[in-house]
Amino acid sequence: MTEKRQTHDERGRIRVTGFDSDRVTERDPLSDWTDGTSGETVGRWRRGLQRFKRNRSAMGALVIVVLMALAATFARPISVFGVVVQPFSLAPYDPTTILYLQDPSVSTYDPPSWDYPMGVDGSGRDLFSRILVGGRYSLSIGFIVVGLTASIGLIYGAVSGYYGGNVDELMMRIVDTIFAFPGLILALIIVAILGGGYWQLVLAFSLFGWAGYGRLVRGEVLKIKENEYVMAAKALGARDRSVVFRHIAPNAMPPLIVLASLNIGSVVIGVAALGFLGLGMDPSTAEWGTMLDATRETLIQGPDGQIPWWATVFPGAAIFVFVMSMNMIGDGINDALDAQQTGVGRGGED
Amino acid sequence: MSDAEPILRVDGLEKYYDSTGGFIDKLLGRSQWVKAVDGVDLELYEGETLGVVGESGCGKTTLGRSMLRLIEPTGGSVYYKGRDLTELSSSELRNLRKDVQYIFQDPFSSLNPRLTVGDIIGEPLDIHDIASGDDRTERIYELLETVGLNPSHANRYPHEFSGGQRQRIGIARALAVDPEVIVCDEPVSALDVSVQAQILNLLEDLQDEFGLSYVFIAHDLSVVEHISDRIAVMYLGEIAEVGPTRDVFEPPSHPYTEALLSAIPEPDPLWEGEQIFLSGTVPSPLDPPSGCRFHTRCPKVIRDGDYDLSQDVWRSIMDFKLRARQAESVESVTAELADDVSGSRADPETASREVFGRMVRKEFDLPAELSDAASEDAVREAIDTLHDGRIAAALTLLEDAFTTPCAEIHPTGYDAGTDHQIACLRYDDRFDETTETFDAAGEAAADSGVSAGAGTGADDERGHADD
Ligand code: SF4
Repeated sequence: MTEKRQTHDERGRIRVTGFDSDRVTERDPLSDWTDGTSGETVGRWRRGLQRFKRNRSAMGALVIVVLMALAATFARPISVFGVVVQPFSLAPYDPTTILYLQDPSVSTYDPPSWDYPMGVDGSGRDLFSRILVGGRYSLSIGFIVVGLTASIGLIYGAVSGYYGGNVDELMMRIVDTIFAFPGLILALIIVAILGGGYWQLVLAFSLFGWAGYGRLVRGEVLKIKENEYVMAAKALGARDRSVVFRHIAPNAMPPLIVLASLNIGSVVIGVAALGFLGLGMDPSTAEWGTMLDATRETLIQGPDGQIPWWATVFPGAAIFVFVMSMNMIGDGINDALDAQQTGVGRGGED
Repeated sequence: MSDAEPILRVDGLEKYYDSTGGFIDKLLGRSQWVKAVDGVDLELYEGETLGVVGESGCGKTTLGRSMLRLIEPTGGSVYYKGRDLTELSSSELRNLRKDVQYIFQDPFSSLNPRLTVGDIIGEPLDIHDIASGDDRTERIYELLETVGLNPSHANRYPHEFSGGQRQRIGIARALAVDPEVIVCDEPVSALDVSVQAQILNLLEDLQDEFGLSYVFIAHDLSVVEHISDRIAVMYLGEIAEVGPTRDVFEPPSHPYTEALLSAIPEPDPLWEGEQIFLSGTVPSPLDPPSGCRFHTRCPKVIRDGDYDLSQDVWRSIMDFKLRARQAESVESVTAELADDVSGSRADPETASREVFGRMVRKEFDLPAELSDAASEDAVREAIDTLHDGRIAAALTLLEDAFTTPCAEIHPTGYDAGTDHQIACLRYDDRFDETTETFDAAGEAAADSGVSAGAGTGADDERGHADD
């Protein structure tokens, strides 16, 4: 062991042959193909749906929202141009009928009874019927506004993010300006200018409501643009249009859907808030917020010293249940789509 | 090989990024440019593999991408079969994408997670109307088989595959248009070693089968050596050396290539080859060094003929000079040294001249006394000035005393054998190999050709501008 080791400075006298490419090919043609990865192929959306179905609270909330929507639809018959398209009538009375005019035994603020399960309001109208029909306004405004704003925001954000540069700069400064004002105040101003009414409300919430979606989508697009598959599409010769529609928009969708589903609730609350301030619909309309406004004074004291709680609790509860359910659905969608993790930056794995 | 017409010719390609701070700077015209790719010339011949190597950040990927106009080059031309890519309209360019393809480094981010493998590979078929309906399906199956994947997996999503398999999908996608040239941008560096070999093998097989030409970009020399016919070594956006693999590697000629090669690990425990450690870090491409871009780190930086110093000491002096140029306080030119008296760390601000001198010499591995008297005087004087805290004055002293042609003259590719070009002044005619000195004004310059002289003039200017 005393003899000196012969060192040299010549490379390649010892070779590690285990990594010879020929041998590797023979030994292990498809290296890590395991059973785990060879299951039946399931699309991303379908996988999301399955995950959503397993989410009990979200499914429960979905059932509630569907029931409310059905109840609102079938509350009173709907006719289009004089043709009755929906003949059913779940609500026992017309929401605008003043009951004591027909039936003198009814008076204003009658408590819930068998005939009037949610009592009678201050103008002598059946609350149960009003709440069923009122869902038509609140729910439809929520969905219409969100549909509109999300679409505008998607286009706005996609353009801003994809083209970047000065276009982006200008478009985002506009969004910043909108963000400088609270959304409800902006809606309030518009309603104050245009007056109350269904489409005025839709406009009030849509006109500036897209800004949040625009900013979200722009951020997503900026992130997605960095992915090499966008450059890969360019390398294959794809046009801008097909890059946006095939690669960028679909990848920006999940967070947008999550935000939209969570926003339906806020829009409904906003509509109710304007209604409560007396700025929404016509005061006699059976819209939940407006109904609250009409009976606002009863929160303190009713006509004969007692408080007619049903006049405020039921419309309030309707708003609460709907908004709560929408938020639970939104959360469910969020979990199902993994909206936070869709970026391929994390390897695109689920 | 060199008499054949190259299939792809890159001519003076430049990609500068504007890194101007903000709007105000832009208004005032204070623009700054990152020279990611700075005047690269390359030729790719039919059926060959041209390896492009360099450290990370040297502009390899930018080169690959601007070559195919995936990012717009800011200057130069790229000729594919005689047509200038940089002049093409976007529809002509789209058509040309059928002939030149690109394989990406990251097999994870280069495949859209929302498309099935079939659709990913089918995309080029759709874009160029190559096949549709059953033909398309047939072609996709065929491509999957070509790259060694199971055709029945066409309906799976990318996340169901391993890295190596995804890279195969990326290769299948590039092959779908039946290209002539493929630029492979570090196609294996994200993969396990055993999988790397499989992919390299696949690429080689495909080359034989379809007569492809590759530009193979990598930072791993052993990979490039394995697959390339010719190699281009890149440093800071420029080509340092280009030539047939054998000529470039055995023996290495350019000092940078030599350093890269010496860094390849060797499994032999008896091997005592010299590992070359490069001093300093890669300079920023924002303000690349003047002259030869490698001179701030080159172990063989050319000596000043006036002094008789060993190469190591010369390098140390150069480091000393470069550091002084950037130094803001004397602390950055001194090593930490225990004080003789107190045993605690000496403070360079208050240390005695003698201790301070030792601190500086230790930092740069300078001997206590240089063998050459003239240079010893210059170094000592510089240290004296530094000790007084006058960094700028010390720098002037050093700059006047020690000069190297490497910092002033920009080397162009000097021919060293057929098809082998080395951008190093040591291969310039004015370099005297026996004395290892450079005679910038020597008569050799006269017969070394007009081009070298002209290039030198322009580069001199640049050298001053950078100072
Ligand atoms: S020119 Fe000088 S600094 Fe550049 S590689 Fe050659 S010897 Fe080194």
